[in-house]
Amino acid sequence: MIKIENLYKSFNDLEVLKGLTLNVEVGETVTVIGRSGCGKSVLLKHIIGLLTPDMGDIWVDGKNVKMLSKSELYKLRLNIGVVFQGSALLDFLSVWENVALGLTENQKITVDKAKEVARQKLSLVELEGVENKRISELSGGMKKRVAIARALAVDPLYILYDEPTTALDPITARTINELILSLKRKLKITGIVVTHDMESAFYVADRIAMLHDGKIVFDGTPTEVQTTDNKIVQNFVKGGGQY
Amino acid sequence: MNKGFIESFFGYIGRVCIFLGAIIVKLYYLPRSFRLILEQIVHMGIASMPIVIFTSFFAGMVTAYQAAFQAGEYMPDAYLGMAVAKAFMIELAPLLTGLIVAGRVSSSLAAEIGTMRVTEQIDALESLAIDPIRYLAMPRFIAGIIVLPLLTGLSLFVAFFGGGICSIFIFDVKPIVYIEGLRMQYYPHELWGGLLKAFCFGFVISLMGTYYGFMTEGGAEGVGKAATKAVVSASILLLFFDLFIAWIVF
Repeated sequence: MIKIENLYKSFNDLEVLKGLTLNVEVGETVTVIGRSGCGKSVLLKHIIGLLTPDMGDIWVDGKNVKMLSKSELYKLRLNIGVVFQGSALLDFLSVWENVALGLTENQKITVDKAKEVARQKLSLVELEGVENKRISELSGGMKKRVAIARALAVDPLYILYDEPTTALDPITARTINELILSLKRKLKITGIVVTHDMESAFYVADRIAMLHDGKIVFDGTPTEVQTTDNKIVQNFVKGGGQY
Repeated sequence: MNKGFIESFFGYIGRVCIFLGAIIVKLYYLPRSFRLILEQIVHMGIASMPIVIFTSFFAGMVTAYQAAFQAGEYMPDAYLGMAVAKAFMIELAPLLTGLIVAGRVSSSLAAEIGTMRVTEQIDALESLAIDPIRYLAMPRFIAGIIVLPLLTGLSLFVAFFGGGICSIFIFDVKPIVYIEGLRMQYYPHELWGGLLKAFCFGFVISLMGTYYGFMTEGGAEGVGKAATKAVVSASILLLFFDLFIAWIVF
């Protein structure tokens, strides 16, 4: 379970998170929606300890992330897969080396075994025969899939998606959404999807939380999002109203 | 000197020292990073060889030519070889190689790591429980320290050859006389002093390249700035170390 309590974060004079509270139960997928620059990615970075909160706590499986030592934090990160916005694949490595990186660098594993695991994870994201390709040879959608395969390589309990459909065409975006949903059903991984793509949010979420002005201003099921009277949520879902 | 300058200067020195300390702590993982270091040695060393060979060959010829021009008829032929040997062992081979590699490698290190910083690849490493200093900075740092003395040795050899070509074909010096000249008045500490310089230059070049790469902020503009700062600071430090080691060793 991921529990975020009263989280505050500022960068210089800019207050980004102002008392954010959010709970994610085991097995559920929560989508965090909000405008660009509202702090969604900052929230994800706090969960894996890449950023330290100014105030507030993040609890993952009962462990307070900000109180962990570096080695404990690294141990915790092995349970959390992250899919970054721009895929963040290492371009000096091949596809399989990227996917298996978390294994080859953290476990004693043979090259053959690592390659085999990479192949399995790539087939989970419906990518086959690309193991030996360079990252520069892949399309945007393929890179996203490789990033998902990399996040899955260490068999995480949680997976965090940062804008998984950004910069993808509508068909590829839909394929990625279907993939997120099918992985959730197959692997029963707890997920947080940060997005401003409402189609994606409705498609993959068990619960949708709206981040606005540094706080969660709404938290409910996709149906509740569509029927709520909350003006901020309505305005966001309808894209600011009519032209 | 105003207070702001002093603060920023010592702040900078402090940050570089902390970064260096973080790399040194990661030397514990040296055996595990053998493959990464080897890749970087090949990447830095092999790719720098053509420009080092080209520059050293011509610099060797020019040194022999200038020595002959300055001393003219008053200098025995063997002294041409000695002039080339002394100039390159003590100063020119490490300095030329250092400056070339500073331009080529430190900018490339800063740009490569800087791009990884701005495209979240370093965050991705962290998220995979991989320490980026151990995975990226330490192997590059060690590779730089190993590569520079090797390239300096190559530069020395090529410069001797270039000086020989010039002496033999332009000034009609007999090959055996030129070779004897190379060995004349040879003191081992001159060679070791030159290689010590190369070692320090490798240290400075890889440290500045990786430091500015890790400190990159913003997008493409930030990467460009990091690459420029890496080259400028590596070159300045290189000249400082050149004088410092000359003062200590010779």
